[in-house]
Amino acid sequence: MNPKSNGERFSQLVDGELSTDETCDVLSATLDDADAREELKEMLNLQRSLRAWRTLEPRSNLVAAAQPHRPPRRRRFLLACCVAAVAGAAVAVVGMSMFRANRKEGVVPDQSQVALPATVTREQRREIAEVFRFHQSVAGPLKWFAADDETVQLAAADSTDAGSRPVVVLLRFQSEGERQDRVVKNCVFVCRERQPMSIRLPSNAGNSRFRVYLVPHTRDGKVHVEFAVSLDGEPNKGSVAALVGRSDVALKETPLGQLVVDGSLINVRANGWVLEGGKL
Amino acid sequence: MTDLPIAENLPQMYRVALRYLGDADKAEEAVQNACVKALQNRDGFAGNSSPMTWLHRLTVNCSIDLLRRNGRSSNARPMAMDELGGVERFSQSNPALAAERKELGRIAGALVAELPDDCRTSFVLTQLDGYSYDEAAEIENVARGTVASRVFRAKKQLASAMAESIGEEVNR
Repeated sequence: MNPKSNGERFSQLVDGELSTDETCDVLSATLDDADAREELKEMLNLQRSLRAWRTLEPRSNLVAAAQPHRPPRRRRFLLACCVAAVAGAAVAVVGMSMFRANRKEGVVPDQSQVALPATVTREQRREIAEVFRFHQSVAGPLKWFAADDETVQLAAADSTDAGSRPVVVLLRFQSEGERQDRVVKNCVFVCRERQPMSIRLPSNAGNSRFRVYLVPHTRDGKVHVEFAVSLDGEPNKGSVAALVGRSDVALKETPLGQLVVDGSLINVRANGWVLEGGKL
Repeated sequence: MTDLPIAENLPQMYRVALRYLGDADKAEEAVQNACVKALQNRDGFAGNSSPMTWLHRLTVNCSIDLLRRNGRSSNARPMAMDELGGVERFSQSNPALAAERKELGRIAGALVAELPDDCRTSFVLTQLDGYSYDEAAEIENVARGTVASRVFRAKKQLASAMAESIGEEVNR
């Protein structure tokens, strides 16, 4: 038996993914091959070690409770909108300790007394990679991921995203003014190379007026980003402020420009790097 | 009206929620919420994906929503598998064997995080969440053969790392 196909067949065998005939063929060939038997035994041992996890089931009887009656049409529409909003803007708080790292230096995400570090550290890059990989391991492949210190938004990848490398872009929004008056918002985006990403920034008040559009490109490991950051005005009146452009971004912070928001000047800066699998 | 196979997907939904929330009670709550949303929206299920994939996405979103509502701090880390000893169930008829398997499970769980990205998702979906290769292929939007190959590579790496890890513990 071919050693490579041996192992893969054993893997599928212990997972119950072979047909009855294929199972018979594999087992017959294995009986007279000592090396093959050892390899099968290794697969079986690994399978057994994960059995407890794989067989976990709810302890109580979960009931898929049906509604006693269908609500009126308008309520159904509003309910559908709410569900769509939740599904489309899922939020979580997971491992944004890059801000904790900053906090150790006396910096907090939204009220800063000390200047934020201008260069992303290896530890921060590692933590962002871990958080992204965790979400992918549960939610499946992601087209993009966006997070600040309190919220997370995800979008599932489709076939057009396959093979596009994930690129990290950090955006920092910092208002001008006395140190104690400065407001700082840090956002992490992981998006796919050459794939546009457009989202509304999360807001504690739930009525965020900021929208961000990003398309990252890479060349020789360096990141170039097309960006647009806009501030919505009154309903049906379009944007009141926008920052649009292209820039190379790197581990060291790059200024992208400024926005005027409600009479205050907001500086927008960015860092960027390619999120390689397991590499920084 | 779409007939959703919710009951038969409950175990996978629970395991997905448990990996996100790290707590059995919260995982059950997230799955219950996902079931309610599935029933509320069953008429809107367009059939672009299989019901299983749709339920998987609902479970992920409900788990994340629960994390947010429970005010999980930004310092929280994803739950590592070896921290979930409290929810494991083992036969009590052979305590020594049970203890050995629990330890192996703990070691395996700790090593899963070190798998390469492309392998880890396929491995977790099939080996931990209990999805078939076809179901995992649909969730990941890849061919079934790709899932099979990734799972095999992950198992080889895991088995090798476990052997090293166990050898180090024996030699201590």
